[in-house]
Amino acid sequence: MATTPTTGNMSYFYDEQLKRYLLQIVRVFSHFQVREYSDGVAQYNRVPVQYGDSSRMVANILRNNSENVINSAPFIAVSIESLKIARGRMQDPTNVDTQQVAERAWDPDTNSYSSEQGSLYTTKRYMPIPYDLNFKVDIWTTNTDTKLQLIEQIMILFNPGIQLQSDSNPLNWVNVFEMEMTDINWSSRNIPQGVDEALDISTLSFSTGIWISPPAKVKRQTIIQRIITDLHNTSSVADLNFSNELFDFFGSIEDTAEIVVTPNNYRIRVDGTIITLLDNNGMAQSWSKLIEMQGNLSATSILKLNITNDTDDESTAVVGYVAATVDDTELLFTLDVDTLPADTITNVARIIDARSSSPGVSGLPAASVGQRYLLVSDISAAGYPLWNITAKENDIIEYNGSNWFVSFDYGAHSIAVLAAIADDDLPDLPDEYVTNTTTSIQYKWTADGWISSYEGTYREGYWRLIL
Amino acid sequence: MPRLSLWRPIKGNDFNFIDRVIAEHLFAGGTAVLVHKYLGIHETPDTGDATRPSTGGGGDETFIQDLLFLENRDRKYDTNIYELRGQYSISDGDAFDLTQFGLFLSNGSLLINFHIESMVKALGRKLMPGDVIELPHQRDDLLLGSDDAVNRFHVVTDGSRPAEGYDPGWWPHLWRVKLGPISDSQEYRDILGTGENPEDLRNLISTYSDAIAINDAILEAAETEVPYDPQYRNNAHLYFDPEVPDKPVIDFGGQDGIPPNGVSLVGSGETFPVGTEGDYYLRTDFVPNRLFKKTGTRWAMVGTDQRAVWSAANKILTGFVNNDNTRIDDQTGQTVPEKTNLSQVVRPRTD
Repeated sequence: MATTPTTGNMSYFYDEQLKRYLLQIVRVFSHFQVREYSDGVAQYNRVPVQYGDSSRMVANILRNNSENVINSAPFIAVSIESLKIARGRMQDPTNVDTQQVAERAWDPDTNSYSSEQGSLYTTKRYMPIPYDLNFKVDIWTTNTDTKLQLIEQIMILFNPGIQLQSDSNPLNWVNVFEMEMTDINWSSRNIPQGVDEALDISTLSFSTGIWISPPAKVKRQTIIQRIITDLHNTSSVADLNFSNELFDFFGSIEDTAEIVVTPNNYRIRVDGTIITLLDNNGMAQSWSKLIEMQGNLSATSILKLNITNDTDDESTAVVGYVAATVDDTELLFTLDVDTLPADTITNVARIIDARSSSPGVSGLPAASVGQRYLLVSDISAAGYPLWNITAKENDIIEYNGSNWFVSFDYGAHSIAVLAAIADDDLPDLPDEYVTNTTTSIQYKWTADGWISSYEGTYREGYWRLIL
Repeated sequence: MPRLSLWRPIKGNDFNFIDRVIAEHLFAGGTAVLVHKYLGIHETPDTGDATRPSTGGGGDETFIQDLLFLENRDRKYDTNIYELRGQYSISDGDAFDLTQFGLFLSNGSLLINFHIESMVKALGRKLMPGDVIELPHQRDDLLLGSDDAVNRFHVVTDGSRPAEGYDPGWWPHLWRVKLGPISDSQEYRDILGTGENPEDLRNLISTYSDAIAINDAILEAAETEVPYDPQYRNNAHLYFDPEVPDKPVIDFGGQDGIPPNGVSLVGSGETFPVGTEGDYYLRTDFVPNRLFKKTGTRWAMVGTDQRAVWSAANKILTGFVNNDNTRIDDQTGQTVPEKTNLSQVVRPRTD
């Protein structure tokens, strides 16, 4: 794709904005007719309109490069008289307005839009600059009757002005403009006529308030909309000495709370490789309906899971690719294990119930140095001599070549963590993570036991789908 | 011996001798000039306006069509073309003067001398302002982009007896007319035609058709940008999901009378059907038409069809100006237009 040429520090752009204004202005005068009689029968002739500043070459082409070709009259010529900056209509010069809009999906088979949602765009529009475009309309006539016919038809339009549109794009916020008649120069001729018979030219002066805009930014939106609404600790803007003349007044107000909103406040449940969309009542919802609001799933669509307590902290987000499944309420989640938190505890080989299995028995391998297991039940050395260790549920045990010992004492760790929570003077203890090498599932320590480090239910604001 | 005097109170033999010599001189050395003789005014209807009298079947050269503006617009020209001989000095013209859009050529004004007696013999009168003349010797058969050839047309704007046209006996023999360029306008429709017939001279010699074509091109471009009335926004290609409360919305509202997202209307008319939830129906008895959506037990208005034909005027004014409605006159039973100029509204009837 070609890039726009740059000279110095400004790239080329040209949107034909003045031309579009002129097109509509010429259009205003393009439908008038004049009546003339031939043998008592009225005939109506349309009066042509053209831009006044024709080049000499075109003018000669139009008359077939001959002095003998004649021009028609009456006719109307529109020309720009002046263009002045309109200081009175200036507004916040650095304002950037953002609008989001969705496009209907395009069906290439039928070459038409479907009723489904297509791409979603975010548009940013920079504050346009106001100008007053002054122009004049010359009405050329060969007799007074024709002149009055035209003038009367034109004069009823402007009371004092009319509203026009430079285009019909709903995202162009300055395409509506006003056109006002400001003056009339009745005739170009001397009265009474001198020795020459000249055509009569009436000149009508008009002024339009127009806007010239820089290019907009149009981005394809791929993140499900997430709005953070600032709440300020007051019930009335008047309490803040609010002034609408101050730019970004609220920007200086410190936020005291925030509301995190996702579409319909949906939650998700992460269960292994399955992501289920849930509403507030825990009922499964359609992924496709939500996704089509924003775009389409692609091979690069990813899900970000915020495993912290801070909605803004995405530095430790767990990420994986997602794909559709036959069940519309579920997405297939392929975890990127590199995004999981780093283990703080040496891996365990398995999670076992030590009461029903022993080293070298019931599928467990014989004990070897460094072998580690996470227990799901209490055992005692007396009751389970093959283990010959007393350990509690959630403890991690390890074999040192001659004996099994408790490598991670879940109970003692819990007491330390709870004490730290209760006493602000104690340093916060780090989160503990361990991975089961048999299933490759990582677990996180909690006061209630080991849980998957990323599986579970994520509330609104704690997950993001990037299409 | 009588006293010498070249003056004779009557045009005698001396006058005739000199006049024949001058006529021969102009015939021998002059150029052909084709004259479209102004005959008067086309028949105009009697409007009861004293300043615009009806020709009443007359309307010769002395008739004045408009007594207020003092102008003759609907001119009638003789279909016969008269050939005269005239002499003038050919001068170099300056550049094509675009300050006047080419309506006036700097070399467009000519002064041509005619022999009075020959002129009156041919035309029955002297050349007068309004007469149109062709100069065959200025015929241009090298038109750019055309194989046709056209003569040069002028209109007489003034006539007077030139100083060089008096003989030693003080009698005038020449008529000098001042010529200006004609324009393709109402005054010369008899000569140029309306352009409706392919052979009309207007199609050959006038820039009107090109000017209309240029204007149409501008209109086409303007209509592409703004196809309908200025309240219309082209959002038919955009997707709108009203059930998503925080969905961004740009200027939606069924402004084209068509349901959003390509959904089809269940119908249109003046009364609602029974309908089911989510149905769209266009009520055509509203102006502009209104789009309704069945929501529960009610039809909710969701937009109006703003696709009115583009007009420079606002909707109300357009309704007054572009009004083709008719009514039945109770007393005459005739169908008459509803649109009536304000000065003619419910005027007393004539007996």
